[in-house]
Amino acid sequence: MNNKTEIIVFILFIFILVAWNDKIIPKRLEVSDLEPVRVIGLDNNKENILLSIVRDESTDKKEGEDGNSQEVVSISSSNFEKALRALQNYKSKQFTGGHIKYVIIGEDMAKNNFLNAIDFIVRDVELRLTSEVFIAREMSASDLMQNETESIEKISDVLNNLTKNINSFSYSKEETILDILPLLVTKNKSGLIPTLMPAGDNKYNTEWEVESSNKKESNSVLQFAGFAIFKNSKLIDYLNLTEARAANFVNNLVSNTVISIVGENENKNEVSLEIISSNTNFDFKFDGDMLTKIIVKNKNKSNIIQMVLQDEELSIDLVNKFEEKLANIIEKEIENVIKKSQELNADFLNFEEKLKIKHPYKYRKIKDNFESIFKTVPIEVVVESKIERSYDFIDFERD
Amino acid sequence: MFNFWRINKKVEFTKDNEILGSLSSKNVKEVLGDSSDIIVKKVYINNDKDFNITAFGIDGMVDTNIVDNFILKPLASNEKVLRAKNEKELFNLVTDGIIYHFDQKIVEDLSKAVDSILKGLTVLVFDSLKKAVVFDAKKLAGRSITTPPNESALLGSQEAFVENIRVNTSLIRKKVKSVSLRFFDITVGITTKTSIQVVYLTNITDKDILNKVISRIEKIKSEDVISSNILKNAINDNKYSFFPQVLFTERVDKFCSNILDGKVGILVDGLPVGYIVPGVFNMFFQAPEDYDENYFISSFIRFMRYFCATLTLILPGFYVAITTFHHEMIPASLIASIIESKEGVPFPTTLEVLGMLLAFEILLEASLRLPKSIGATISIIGGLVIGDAAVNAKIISPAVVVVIAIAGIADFVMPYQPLSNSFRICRLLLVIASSIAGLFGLSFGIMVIVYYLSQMEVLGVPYLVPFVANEGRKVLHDTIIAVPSNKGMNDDE
Repeated sequence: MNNKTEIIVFILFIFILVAWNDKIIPKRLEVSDLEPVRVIGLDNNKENILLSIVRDESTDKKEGEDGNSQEVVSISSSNFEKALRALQNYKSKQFTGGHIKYVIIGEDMAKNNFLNAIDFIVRDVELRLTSEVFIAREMSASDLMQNETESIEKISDVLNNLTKNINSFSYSKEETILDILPLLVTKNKSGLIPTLMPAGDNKYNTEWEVESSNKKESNSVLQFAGFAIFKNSKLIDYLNLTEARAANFVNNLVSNTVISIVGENENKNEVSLEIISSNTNFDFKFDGDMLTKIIVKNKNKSNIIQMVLQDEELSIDLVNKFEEKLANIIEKEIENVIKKSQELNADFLNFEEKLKIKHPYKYRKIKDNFESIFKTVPIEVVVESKIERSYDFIDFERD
Repeated sequence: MFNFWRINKKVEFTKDNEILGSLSSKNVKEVLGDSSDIIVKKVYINNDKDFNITAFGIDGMVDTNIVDNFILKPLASNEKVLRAKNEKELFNLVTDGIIYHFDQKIVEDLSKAVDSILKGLTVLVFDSLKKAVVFDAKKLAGRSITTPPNESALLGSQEAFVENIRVNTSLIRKKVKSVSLRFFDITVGITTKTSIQVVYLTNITDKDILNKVISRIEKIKSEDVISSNILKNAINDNKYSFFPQVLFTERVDKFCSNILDGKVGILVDGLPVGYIVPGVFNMFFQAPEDYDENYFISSFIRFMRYFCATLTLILPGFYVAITTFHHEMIPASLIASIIESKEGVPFPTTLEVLGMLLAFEILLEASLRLPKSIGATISIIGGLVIGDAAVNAKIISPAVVVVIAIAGIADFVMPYQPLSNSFRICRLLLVIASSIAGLFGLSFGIMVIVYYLSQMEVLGVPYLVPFVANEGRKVLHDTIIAVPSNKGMNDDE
């Protein structure tokens, strides 16, 4: 045998050895035998856990058949792995978790068993760590999913649309499993996870109301419901939409939002301003090694997108007044969210992280006491707003 | 070529290269037999029945006007000829210029005289002297020079090779007016006596490669050289490889540009194509118009060719691998549509893909063998009607049709058909490897192909040059991108 033949025989031997090794080569499965799952819900169910999935029923339907095409399948078991395996035997097709993009966790599980839920996702090789996590606000994940199945819209499509347009109000943010892992592994760590609620529920959203000729439809779609505050791997409280936006202002996650201020004319007509950019910086004041004050400085730019003037021109003075009002509103919002953070003694706005980056040596000296320091340290908020455009025919001019 | 039937029929053949005997008209007639196309004309000098010579030619190959007016007429009417007393005097008159012809040779060997007649030349045999005078009075029957039917290009020369080898050599000479240009004539084929011209430039062509080519062609012992396959087999180092190692072209400009690059060209009488050796992988991705277009556009097109080659090679195997083993690699929205399209199809994806690839090959073969007008119908019936019906009948899934169609179209982007054929074979092997072991099988298959191509050499030149064995030099020079050429620029520019 010459060298070439030896190499070919050796390579073929390796190929055959590997090709028939089930541990190396994944199991052969026709794609048509699979049913990919895109959304799962994780809940507590008394002593057990409840694993829910949304499956698309359109493939089961006969031609011309109309109506709801989603089915929520929930399996109760002592642990998630058993539930997942039981789920795979439920239908003629095998459920596959490799395409799960959204994980919804029920409130009860988030409060009492959050670590268990995330641990299951992290350990299961099939599930993706880039899946986005949501908390079902004040309800179980299966109830939220069940509610959504009344809609003709697929829950995964609705969530897709919500996350795509997350910047239209800046009331939420995208959090993947990977993003929230520090919440689980760091002691006393706090953080925010976006929450969901049915769109028809106006309990936490007073800013708008959706109406549809299809009454069922308007109540069944989903919307963001602010953030869930987590500390020590447990849900401790919520932020409403305005507080969520303020938290996003602090964490530089606002890229676009609309804020309304009261106009200066007699009728007090509303003026709507579109925030087009925002940047927040932090100043930490020390007395020796003691943190004495935190200054939060926000600078934002906006455009006037809606305004009714009565017998008055859009002057630079008027614009200055609008800017001042806008700054006051944002300042108030940020102050409120900071106050809540200090009251809960949960640094979900990540001041500790910012301090660590800016003053690493001084942080090292106070890091063991940071929790107690943070609770009492004065935090000053300074907001500077600037209006860029009015979209008037003759725009205002600054000096 | 079609020798298989001889074994069954047990017909005995004698070889016709053993022509023995002295040169005489009687022996020539005996050798050539009573073939109806052989013209034998006895020329009586001064009407003397004892003083004659014999003219030989092949009907249809000799130009009878030239023979009548410039060879036979002087023999019948020239006064000096009429005064000749014997064959010796006549022979001297003929060779000294009574019959004035540019290409005139004296032969004294019977086999050479017979060969000349078979090549279409006119031979005057002087029996008593055992000599003959050969005149090139061939009638250049055949196609006139046309545009390349299979290698059309928008820009550049539109001249194509024809079947007549002399026309082809003149076309090359017309383009390359160099004193270094050489044509080396070799006659191969015991029965066909096919003339082969090895074309090269003495100043730049590698002597080793040239000598190898000449010696390998000279060693051809086949009875017939009508097709190029015998020639290719003789030249190729890797006889069992299905990758092309000889570039053939019907374009004169492409042939000449390769000769000017130092390669060796081969012309075969009767074949309207030129062959270039050594044929390396990168050459098969080059097209003549690459050098006429803006370099940026050429580079983009060249890059697309490599991309499409990769696509046609990998896509069907990749589809089989991800739909059978690695479902999580498919984006969620895409897997939904694949599952939907596969609903109700009874065959596994591997069989679907292999079946479609074979169907594609059948359609391709069928359309090649039919006249152009019917070929188009086959494409329509095969591609649209049967394809659509198969999808509707849930025999194949639309996703597979799309994958095979993309792979098929990408295959046709490659400018050199033999390479495209090799890729189609590799594609089938990769589908099988993918169906056994998923992406591992696919990667393994690709590794084997790359290894095989890397170690392959054509006449001592690595097949993947300049990607390998060139110390990293000129890897992107006229390969995946076409950099602007400095040819035609002065050194000081």
